Parts: sequence; structure tokens; C-alpha cells
Amino acid sequence: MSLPKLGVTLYSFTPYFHARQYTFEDLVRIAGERDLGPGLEIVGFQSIKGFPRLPDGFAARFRTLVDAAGLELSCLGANADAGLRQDRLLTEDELVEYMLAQLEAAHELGFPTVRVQHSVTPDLMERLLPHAERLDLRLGMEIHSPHSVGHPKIQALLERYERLGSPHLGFIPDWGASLTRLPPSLLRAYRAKGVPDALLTAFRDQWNAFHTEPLIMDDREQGARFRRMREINEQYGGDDVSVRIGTNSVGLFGHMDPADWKQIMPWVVHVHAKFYDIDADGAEPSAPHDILLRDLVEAGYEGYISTEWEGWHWNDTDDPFEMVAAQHRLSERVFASLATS
Amino acid sequence: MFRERIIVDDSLAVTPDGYELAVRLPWYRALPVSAIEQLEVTLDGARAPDDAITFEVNGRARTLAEARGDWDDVWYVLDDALVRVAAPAPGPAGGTHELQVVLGVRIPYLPVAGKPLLMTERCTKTMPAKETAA
Repeated sequence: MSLPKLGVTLYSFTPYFHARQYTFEDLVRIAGERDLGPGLEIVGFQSIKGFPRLPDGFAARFRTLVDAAGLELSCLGANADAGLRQDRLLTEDELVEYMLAQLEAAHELGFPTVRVQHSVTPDLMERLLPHAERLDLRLGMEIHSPHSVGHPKIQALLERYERLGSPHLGFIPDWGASLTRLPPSLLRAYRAKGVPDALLTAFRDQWNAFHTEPLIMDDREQGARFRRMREINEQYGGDDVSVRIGTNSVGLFGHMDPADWKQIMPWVVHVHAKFYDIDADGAEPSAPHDILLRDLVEAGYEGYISTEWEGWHWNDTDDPFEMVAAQHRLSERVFASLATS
Repeated sequence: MFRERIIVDDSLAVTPDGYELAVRLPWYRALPVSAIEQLEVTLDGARAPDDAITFEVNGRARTLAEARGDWDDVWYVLDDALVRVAAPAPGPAGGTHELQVVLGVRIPYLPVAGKPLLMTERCTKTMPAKETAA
């Protein structure tokens, strides 16, 4: 049985990096020392000052560092900043140029895959394809909450991929798009901050209600859901701290059926194993790893699964290194059970 | 995100023209300077008028209005912005003050129905004012 490769994105360690507790170089070294690889993913605009411009000699020093850590480059997180300007969105030509600079940086750094985001339309993806071929890169459109495999934007891309038939184009599932419940640590953390139980319950009930509704097919529906959560916050006397429970719930936690990733599996070029909690049994209570990993393995996926711990948005007590290690142990257990079943 | 980190601890300093403080970006990655759409500074309950505030990133001080066009300059996620406020003297160095900063940041890759998301974060801290050389 062939298996996917594990790995990590340094985004998981954002609280340490932002606090200047560990440098970028520290985090690469520690990811190696703690065996959180082999795949290494970074967000360009986080890890590298001046990105996508690279300082002289940076790429060579970076590859030496990665080799010394025993890691392999998996994916560079690029950003499709269509809202770069305050006065208007970027034009298509401007966005292509903006993405191209990041593709060039990915190539210079030695990454095989680049994560792109949904402001890049099928037409723009097609315009970037010759550059991906020239730079030997795979472009992976991230499928992130509130999107899902059936969303019109994703379906339009899928149609284009099928027509173009290029191995340089694909998708990056983000498991946050297919949660089965709110992360328990979210409610615990805000309860500890003094948010009343009635408000926590109202947020949870509303997320559960969204969970029974049809998936978002028009991005304006997400705006309506943000407004609904703000109304609940006001109704229960919440403040600008508690409102984050509601906005996080709409922005981060999608409602897709985890088994539906199968529909795009042949086009998966990389995976964001987004997760939030590890419970007392070592399982992830809201992202069912048994299903998510089983379907990747059964499809014969042999690329990287980049572990992305995002619980730090509210959880400042658990150690991000430990959380990623625990998610890797869970993944290895699921792989082992698949091998014997 | 990281709202409690917006005001850098013990960064308040008295200046000849008022006061200054260091501010962090409450986000996980660098953003264009023009993404800063709201910057409110309040010292001991007195909110500074917008045109009395400048913030310095990459060695260049600018008002919020001037920053609007700075989409090709980047505030790196690890860098402090030096915020200067022209105001009546907040009293001698050494005194303790309550500072509040509200930062509204446009997230350029998260368009909801064609409009990027604006994230607003508020931070309040109490700290002594230092003497500054500036």
C-alpha cells in the first residue's frame, strides 16, 4: 500500500513566530528535530520579509537549512491579494503579474507546488499554466471554507482542468471546509474568558443549524451568515471579544461532507490537514481523520499532507509543536489501521 | 487575531510634540500598508484626531490618509510600526497612562461578495511613559 507523506506548514507555529520567540530558521530546524516533516510548507508573505522578492543568497541558504533539517519542500503558500488596493480590486492583468512574481519565487526556493486562492479564476489559472510549466510547478487551488467541491467556482475550475488535462494544475483540500462539529476547544477557551454559557450555546446552535442547510453556493451567503452571528452576539450582550466565536465559526468551519473530497481526488496535488483539537483518545473531534485519510489512501494519493494547526486562534495554552506531533501520531495510527484492514 | 499584542508593552514615550508608541500587526502575515484602514489612538480617554497621528513603517511616517495609496509598500509581520501622536503633553515621563488602539485591517485575499473583509481589533493597556530621545 502506497501512503501519502506527512509534513507541516510553519503557519501552525504562527504564535511563536509572531511573538518573535522563534525565527523562521529556528522553526525549520525545530520541525526537523521534532520529526514533524518530511514535508515543509511556508507562507511566503509570513516567512520572508520583502516576499516575493528574495534577498541575495536567500534561496541557497534556505535550501541548505532545509537539507540540514532533513526536510523536503512541499508547498509554498502564495496569496491572491485581489484586494491589495483600497480603491478597487486588482485587474486580471495585475493579478496575473502579482501571482507570477510569487511563482518565480517558489521556483527559486525549490518548491514543487504553489497554493493559490480563489480570486484566481479559471481564465487566470489558464494564463498561469505556461509559467507553471516553464518553472516546473504545480498550481493547487485551495478549497477552503466557505467553499466546497460543489461550489460553482470550484466546479468551473474542475471543468477547465478536465479540458486542459495538465498535471501542473490541481486542488488543495483544506480540511477546515469539512468539519463535523465546532471544535470543542473554541467554546472552552471563550468560556474561560468569561463568555456566558447562553451565548456560547446560541453560537453552537446556530453553527449546527447552518450545518443542516444547503452548502454555500454564492459568496454573498457568507456575508449573511456573518451578520447572523453578529446579531446573536448583540442579542446575548456579547462584546468585541465574543463576536470572534461567531465570525470564526463562519469564516473557518465549513459544512461539507468529509467524504465529498473523493469527487476531486484525481486532481489533489497537496493537502492542508487543518485541525484544531486532539481529544483524550488522541482523535480529532471535528475533523474525522479516519474518513479523510482513508479516502486519500484509497485514491492512491502519494503527495504531502501538510499538518496545519489553527487552534491558536483561540487556544494559547497548548504547545503548537506538541499539537502537530499529536496529529502526526493520529495520522500514523490511521495509516496502520488501513494497512491491516 | 493577536489583539493583545497590538500595543507593544512599555513602548509609550513622551515626545516634544506629544507621545509615541509601538504597534504590531495583529495578523499572521505581511500586509500592504494600504490595508490599514482604521487607526484610532486614545490616551487616558482622549482620542487623537486622525490628522494628529502618523505611523512609520519601513522608515517612512505617514498619516492614515496618506497610507491609502501605499498598496505597493508592505508592513512586515515582525516589524513594529512607530505611531506618533501630536497632542498636548501627556505629563512628565514616568507617569502611568491607559492607552487604547483600534486597528482596522483589510484582508486582501478574503473578498466576501467582491469586497475584502475588514478585521477590526482593539487593544487596551496601561503602562508608564518613558522619556524619548527623539
